[in-house]
Amino acid sequence: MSSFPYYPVNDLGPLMKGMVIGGLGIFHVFVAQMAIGGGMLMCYLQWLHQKGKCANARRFVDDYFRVLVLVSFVAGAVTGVGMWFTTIQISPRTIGVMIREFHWIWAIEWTFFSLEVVSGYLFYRYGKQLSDRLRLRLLVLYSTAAWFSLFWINGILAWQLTPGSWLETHSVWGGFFNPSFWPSLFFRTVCALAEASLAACVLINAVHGFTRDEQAELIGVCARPLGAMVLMPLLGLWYFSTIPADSRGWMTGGSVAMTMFLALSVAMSTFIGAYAVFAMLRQRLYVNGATATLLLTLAFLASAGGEFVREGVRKPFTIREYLYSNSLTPDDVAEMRRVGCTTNDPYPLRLTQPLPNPQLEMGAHAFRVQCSVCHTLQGANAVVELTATWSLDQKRLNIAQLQRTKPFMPPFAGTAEELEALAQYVTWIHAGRPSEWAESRQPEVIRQIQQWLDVAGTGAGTVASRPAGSPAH
Amino acid sequence: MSAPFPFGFPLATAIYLAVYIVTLVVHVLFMNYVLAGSSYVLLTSMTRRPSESTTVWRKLLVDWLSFATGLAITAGVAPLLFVQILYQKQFYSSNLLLSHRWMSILPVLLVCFYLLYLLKTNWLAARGALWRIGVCGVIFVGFSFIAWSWTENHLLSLDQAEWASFYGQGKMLYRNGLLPSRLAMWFIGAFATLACMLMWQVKWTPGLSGEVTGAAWRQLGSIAMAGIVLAGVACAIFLATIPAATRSHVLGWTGGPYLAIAMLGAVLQLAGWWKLVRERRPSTSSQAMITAGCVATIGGMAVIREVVRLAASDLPAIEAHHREALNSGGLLLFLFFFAANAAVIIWCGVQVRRAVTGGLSHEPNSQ
Repeated sequence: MSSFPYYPVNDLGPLMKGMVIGGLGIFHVFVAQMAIGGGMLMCYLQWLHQKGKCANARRFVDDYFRVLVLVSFVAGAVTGVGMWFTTIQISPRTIGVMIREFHWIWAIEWTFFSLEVVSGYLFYRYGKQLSDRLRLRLLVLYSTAAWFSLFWINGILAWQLTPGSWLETHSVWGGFFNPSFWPSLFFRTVCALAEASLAACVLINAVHGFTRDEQAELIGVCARPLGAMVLMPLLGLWYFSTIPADSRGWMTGGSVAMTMFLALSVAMSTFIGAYAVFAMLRQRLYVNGATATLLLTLAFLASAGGEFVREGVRKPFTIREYLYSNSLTPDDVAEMRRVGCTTNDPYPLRLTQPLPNPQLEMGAHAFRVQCSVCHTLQGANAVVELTATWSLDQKRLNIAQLQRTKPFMPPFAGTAEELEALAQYVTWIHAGRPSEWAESRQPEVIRQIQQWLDVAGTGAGTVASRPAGSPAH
Repeated sequence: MSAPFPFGFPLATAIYLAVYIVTLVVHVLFMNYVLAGSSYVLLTSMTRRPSESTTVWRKLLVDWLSFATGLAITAGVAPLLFVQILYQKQFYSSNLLLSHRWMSILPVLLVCFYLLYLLKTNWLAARGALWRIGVCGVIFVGFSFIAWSWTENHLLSLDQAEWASFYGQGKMLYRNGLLPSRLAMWFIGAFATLACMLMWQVKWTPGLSGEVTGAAWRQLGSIAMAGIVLAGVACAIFLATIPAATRSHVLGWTGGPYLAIAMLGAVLQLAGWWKLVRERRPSTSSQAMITAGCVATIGGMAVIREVVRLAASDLPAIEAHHREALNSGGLLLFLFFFAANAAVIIWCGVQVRRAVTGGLSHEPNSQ
């Protein structure tokens, strides 16, 4: 019996599951990074105040912190927990493996998060009554704890794309300090500083009571961390050099969606960086509320594009070389080729109306187990649309050799009968879901599918995973 | 399951159970504060002429509920992490089966959290009583919804035989006879925790103890005692209705000592509150009795909760998973950072308190 843990799978209708977790993830990352950069910026402002270098710094710190609490402590904390909730909904096995391997790291991160919340709230509540020295200490503790939260989580996220020596040793530290750990950490730190600076510029314009000159002075000060953006190209290239070759290939033209999102992200970051360096820092231009909001929005979009690409280039894996996007390990694929992917699933189909024959039910079941995590039937990234022009034989061949049809797809994990059932199910939908549909169980078709499956093998279709000497087809 | 919890389990299972219980108890403290606190605030918002006693507790709660919610969420992260190690399959399966409810928790929590901040604003204070009742009502309903969803989710996770048909029929609600008594036990018991925490808040908030009259202490003590007694009744009903095999573990060597601790804690709390009500103010001994009793009751009941769950679990399968998980490194570093960051957190609290009480009047920021 397969060791694959079957879970109940929910259908989100036309909504692609990746969009749900992606949307929440992007929002959470942006808010969390803003909190990290915000902590550093406030330390800097408090220090400037104590040195007598910025008259309004202290007052602005109090205003900024209040907003940071309302945005970061509330939305950040809830969406952080929400990421766990959502990941369980989308891919319980992925989060299960991550928790199993890194739960003590996550627990360490929790201790820093607790420190961040307590020190931050004490500052928020009593900051105005405290001495400058204690204020600075609390802010330093707050921002240090926030940055260390990033430190620990970054290791786990980076591990998903570049597991490094963990694949051989299963050592938690080998996985944590993986090849993309440091470039990712530094890149995110610069992002955090930039986002916090831009958010501060929005707020300076929104806060009442500052004169125009005071606002201009504060904007000049808060824009300084944007200067760190000059490091982004170098850090980006460093990060780029550490990720797998085929992932790099998709970013540079292999997948047009990845390339476009990367290009947009780079373009928006370049625009923000150029504006910051040439306009805000060198010419000390005044940035009004509309411009600051526009820049912050661009930063959000740049961040969203970057996160989309980071998630996307892991394909066909959710944990590189270990767990495919559909939560199957390479061993599961081999096992399911023998016993089937639907055989041991304890959960029945949830049908709104009966299907014409048991083969179509098997096809619907195979779709649920293998495809539904990334594809809808007839919504976003719909299987029915993607295969609309394929003949039945093409469906059989393309699905049997899925990892070669599209290298960011995992191999088909099921028997030849299940594959034929899936092909029939999709074809039945293409035909307009007629009430009568004959079963297709010709032995020669099954034999041909089996042959195609055997030729494709159970490995991934990525360049790195292809065995030496294997024909590229 | 023949030795006192968690000693009858393999080392890996015992470690995760122990860490889970400790972190869960901390979460429950803040969760109870929020749950009972939001109920109290709603009830008192409907009072036309609130008494002085009511006003003092209400003011304190309105001031601190938002932070307590933040702490409850923060403290909830750790048990949420360890429950995924301990009961991965049960936990994930029930979450997926009650997907709509599980995911609704997030926006509901977000709305309640922001409304708690709104409750502190002058903007809302300037509105009529209906506005305040409305806001308090939404907060109460929101937190109650989360409590109900969590309880239902927990009970479904124990009922593995039901999962496939529940999924196949596309059910949205899990009906279980244990739900009312279990929910009532935790919900009503939350008032005793709230009272205990308010007692300490008065002691630690500079200048506040003078504002709390004997009548206010009597009101708080009455709430706590009623909470303990009624939660005890709900607990008795719950234990009477669980399957006999599970009850034998709860009353036997695995859970029996902890049930005794919980009951002893309840008695200690009652005695402490009785003393406080009679003296019309807290004394060192009443505070100690109430606090020790509260921790004992919550700790004991948290263990009973796990004994019930373990009795419904496939122990060999989950124990194998725990052994595998314990092979991953980082435990010692976690213990180091846990101690270090806990020390820094305490240092922050001490420094700020010293600064606030040292010559500066108590004047919390109002939102």
